Amino acid sequence: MNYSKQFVRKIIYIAAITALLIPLSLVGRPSTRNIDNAIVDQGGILSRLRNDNDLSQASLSQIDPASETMKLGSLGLRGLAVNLLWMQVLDAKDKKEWDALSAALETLVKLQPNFIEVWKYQAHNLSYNVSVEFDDYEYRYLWVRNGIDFLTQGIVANRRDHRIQNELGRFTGQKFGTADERFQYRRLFRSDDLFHDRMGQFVNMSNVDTQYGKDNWLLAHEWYRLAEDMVDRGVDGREVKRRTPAAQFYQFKPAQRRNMMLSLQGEYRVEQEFAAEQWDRSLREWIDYGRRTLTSQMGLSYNLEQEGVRLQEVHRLRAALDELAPGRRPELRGQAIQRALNENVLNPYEIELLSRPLDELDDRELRQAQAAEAKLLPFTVEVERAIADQASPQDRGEAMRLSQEIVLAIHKIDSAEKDRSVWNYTHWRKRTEAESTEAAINARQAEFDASELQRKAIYMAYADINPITGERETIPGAIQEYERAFRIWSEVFKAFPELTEGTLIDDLIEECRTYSAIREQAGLLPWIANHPLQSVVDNYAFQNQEDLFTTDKVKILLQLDEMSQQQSYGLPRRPNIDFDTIE
Amino acid sequence: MVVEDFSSFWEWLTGGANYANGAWLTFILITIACGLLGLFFGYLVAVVRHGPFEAFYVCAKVIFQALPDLIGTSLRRIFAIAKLSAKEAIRRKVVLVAFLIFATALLFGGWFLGTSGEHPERVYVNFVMWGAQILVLLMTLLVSAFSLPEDIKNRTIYTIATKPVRSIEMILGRILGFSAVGTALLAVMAVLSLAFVWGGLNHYHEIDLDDPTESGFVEVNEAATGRRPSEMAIKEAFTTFGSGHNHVVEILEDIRAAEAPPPSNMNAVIRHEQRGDNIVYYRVQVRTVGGHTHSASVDPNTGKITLSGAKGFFRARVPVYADQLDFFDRDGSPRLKVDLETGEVQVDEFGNAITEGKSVGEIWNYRGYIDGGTSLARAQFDFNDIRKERFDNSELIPLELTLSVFRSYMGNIERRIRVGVQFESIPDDPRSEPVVRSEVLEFESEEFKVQVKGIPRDLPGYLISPKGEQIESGFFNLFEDFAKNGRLRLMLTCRDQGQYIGVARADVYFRAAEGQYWWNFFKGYMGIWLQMVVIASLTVALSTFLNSPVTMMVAVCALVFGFFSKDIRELTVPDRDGGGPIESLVRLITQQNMQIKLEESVQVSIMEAVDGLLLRLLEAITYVVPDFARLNFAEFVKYGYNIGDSRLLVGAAISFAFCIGVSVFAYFCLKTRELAA
Repeated sequence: MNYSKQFVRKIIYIAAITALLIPLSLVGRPSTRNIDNAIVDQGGILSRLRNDNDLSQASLSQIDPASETMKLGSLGLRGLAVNLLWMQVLDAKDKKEWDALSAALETLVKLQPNFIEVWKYQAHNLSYNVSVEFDDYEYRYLWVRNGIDFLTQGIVANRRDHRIQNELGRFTGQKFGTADERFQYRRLFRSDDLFHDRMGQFVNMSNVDTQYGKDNWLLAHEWYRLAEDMVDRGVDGREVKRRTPAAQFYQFKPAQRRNMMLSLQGEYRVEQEFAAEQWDRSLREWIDYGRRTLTSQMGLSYNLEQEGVRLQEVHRLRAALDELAPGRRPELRGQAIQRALNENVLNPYEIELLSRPLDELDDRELRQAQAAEAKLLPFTVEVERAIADQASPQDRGEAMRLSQEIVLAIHKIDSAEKDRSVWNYTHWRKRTEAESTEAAINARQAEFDASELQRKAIYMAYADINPITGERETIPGAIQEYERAFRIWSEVFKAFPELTEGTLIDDLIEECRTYSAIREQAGLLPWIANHPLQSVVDNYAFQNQEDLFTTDKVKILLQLDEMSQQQSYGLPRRPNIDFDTIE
Repeated sequence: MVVEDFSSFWEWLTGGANYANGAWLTFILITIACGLLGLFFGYLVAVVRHGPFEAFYVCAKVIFQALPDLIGTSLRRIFAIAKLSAKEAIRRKVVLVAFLIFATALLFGGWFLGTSGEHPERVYVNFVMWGAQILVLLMTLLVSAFSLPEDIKNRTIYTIATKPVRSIEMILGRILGFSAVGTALLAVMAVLSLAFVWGGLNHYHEIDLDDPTESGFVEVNEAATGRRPSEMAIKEAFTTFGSGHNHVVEILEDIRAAEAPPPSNMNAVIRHEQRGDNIVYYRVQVRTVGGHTHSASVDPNTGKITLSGAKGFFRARVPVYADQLDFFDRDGSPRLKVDLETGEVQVDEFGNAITEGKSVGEIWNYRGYIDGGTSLARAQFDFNDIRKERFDNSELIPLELTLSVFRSYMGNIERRIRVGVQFESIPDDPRSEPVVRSEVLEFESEEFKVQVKGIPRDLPGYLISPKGEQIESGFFNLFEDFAKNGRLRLMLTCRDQGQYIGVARADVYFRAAEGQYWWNFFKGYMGIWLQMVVIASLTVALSTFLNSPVTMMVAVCALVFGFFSKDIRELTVPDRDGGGPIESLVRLITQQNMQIKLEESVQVSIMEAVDGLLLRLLEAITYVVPDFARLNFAEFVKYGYNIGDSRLLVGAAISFAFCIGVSVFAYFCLKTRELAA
């Protein structure tokens, strides 16, 4: 090959490269923004695709130089490098080389900054898996914090994805607030000014303040607020897609203040005024959540407060339909209910509920009746249509409309009931309402006093001279304080009978155990006759088949129940029994 | 730091008591095997070229010519060729490119590295040493792989071959020349790296108070802050935030007997006062963050406290490891390691039964665990060479421990698991000599941290007769009483019932001295240098009979095999899930997981047989290529441990033996090639 041929070949190569570079530069051209951050030029198709898919570095001003350098430096072998780094991370975790793990993670997220699962998975790894490897709770706290700091780094690269904010809320709330070391974590959190400063770059830390210091649950509340704002208002004028069902997504924020109060009342003797205000706010937030319009899979709008859509509405519509086609309902509905019974869709108790007039039902029975009506829906559709068919030809159109409205109303009730049940809406509404009462706050104070006295090993009441009045008075011990708390709770349960099952009872049963243990330590009988919470304890023992400070009648019932269980295996949950009424 | 090989150079070379495992014997066996194989293949090649009878004479001629060639090798000519090769390497500009890449990486390295994490020094050292290693090895590979094949291709080799230069001189000259260029590059990189690590990690803080004196400090309040204060701490303050962290500064109330020596760092003492028979020193201490601290000094006139630059990043600890570690059960019996399949007790190379700690279900079984709540369950470290001369004259002998903790129940979260350490003498004749046993030193463990405990030279303890009776109690000297024959036993126990302490042999040692960091850093680079020499030799040898791209590919493969030989060997274990290379490919294509057994058929049997052969070949290759892991000392620098002379000598011996071997091999290859030309 002579010189000129070589030269020509080189020229052809250069021309081909240039020709390929032109379309490449056109399709890959990034978007540009003006000084007001408004997009002036959308950029090439690749750039637009990156933008549409939230690969947010499509804009020149948002490029993370470190991340881009790393991606370029991997010379197209990013996938390989990422795999190696993942292996390194897993290996470092197995070998407990935490500095190597952190370093590999830092590199990994620079190569995969827009892959949200990497942030979530690895932050969880740090906060939940690595932290528990440490024996020292201070180090555990540091690693939970490392996971949170790590997640915050992902915010910039994923500005239109709320999941990082949601995870930050979860980590900040749940991990600091419910771990075994929660007492220590929350104490460390309160005094961690540097961490507060860092979080202050993202959230308004003045909203996190309480008179007891900054609270992790309120910080979680702020993260969830950010996530809600992103979804409700969008980012940079663009919509942010909600990645979880609405009922789930919106229940996190209002739950945080409630959690804060439950934590604080275990840690401090929280004052009436502050507690009442916070519980009230918590209740308002929960009701706001309940009033938020949700959309069912069928596209029907409903809310968890079930405003305007209750069984009463269904009955009103049915009455209107029955006027157009009178006399047919009892027979058709009776047949449908019988079929539902035969097919085990409803049980006799639910059928009995459905047969009773609505004004005879209490709130709890009404909820159960609504659930039963929802279960009956597949049969109801046919019944309502058959009744509408019986209407006179001139009324048939109206009758059909009414029958459809009945079905839609039951659909809405069904959706609302399901969400209420999944997110325990009713329970938390009642619980928050109850906790905000003066009595419940007093009960919490008495519980705190009791636990403090127990810590100081003052179990029994003792006589002392009041330094101010100079009079002799009796100072209560832990046992008396517990008994005071139990008495107040029994009063609260009279006002809120729905709360006699659920997490509050679990907590109270634990306190009953503690109370019983310290009575034994004080040389007393472990349990007293006429205990204020005897009915609650009996019911708990019956439900859980546990021989726990129960009266003889419960023991007999438990034995009888065990026999009946053996005879008919697989009975559903035992019904609540008011043991005070049994002789 | 993880250490699994504790043998000295001499033990490695000779195999210690079991000389069959000695490196010298392995070397001789490999040399003989390679010689015979080489002869066989050389004869086969010659048969193809010249026929069976002529081949015999050709081979004999080559072999008999080799001796005078090797004897007549001239250093002057080697150096001349080395000089030319170095010039050639520099002219290729690969060296410059490698240097520029490294310099750029250092310039922008700070973007990715921070000083806020745990032990940032490890990340820094890892970054520079890994970068230097990759670049120098690639550079060496490139210049060595292209040199000889290009010369042969362009026929420029004849300008040298026609001169009175022997083949071996051409090979050694090239190895030497390329190595010299690599050495120069590596030396520059080492200096730059040290400056980068030093500059990147060193930082300063001030006390975050308007008036940085004792008056600004607040009382320690653990109940409010949740922070566990140091022992003796009464007041605390913070430093300013910098380099991604801040420190807690504490004032300690250090109460000492009047006759006891004062604190070693009197600069950090704010004031002292007499309290009864004691003197109370109020001294400043900066709490460690991420493996480093800052020393405080107090202005005696103004009381102002100032802090030094970072301390603790740049360490070169000289450890004295135990020669034997044994684990004992709750009943005091040794926890013998038993082969689960055969039920036999496993023994070491000297025939002694191996013991192992309890498994707590971790994936990585490096550490064995000790049962808590009993002094019978213990880890027993036997030291055979504890001499006074090995330690400096300080009052306390530093015992360093890196312990792992496993809690079987939560227990008291606010208290760490307690550990007990007890010393015992190991008499030469236990039947007639008494044993000195110390009282148990008890302290809280600090997981994932090198915990330093100062062991006093005089320890309280007992003298116990061979019958087990206590003869006397009192203070006994660590060197003169406990380790008078140089042997010392350390017993580690977990003091909390139901909890476990995990430990490995390298986790407990006495720190004999502190080496110079910069010197240790350069020793770390010596490992890279040895790797570079090996790669230069291997590539030059390969280039005598392969063309450049193939040479490079084979050399890269050798590098991969050399670095990952342990992992590759794990792949060759028989009956491994997923099978060999062909079976793995089939499973990949047919999307079958690794556990499903393939249906029996002739094809599968053939595939398994071929896989078996390939796996054995793979395993054999891992033994032929040099073990680069032995030439890699970066871990020592990273974790702040001195690189022992033995490790350097072992590395040098491996590299030297490999260079000699491949040079001889290359000589014969080049000879054959010249004959062909």
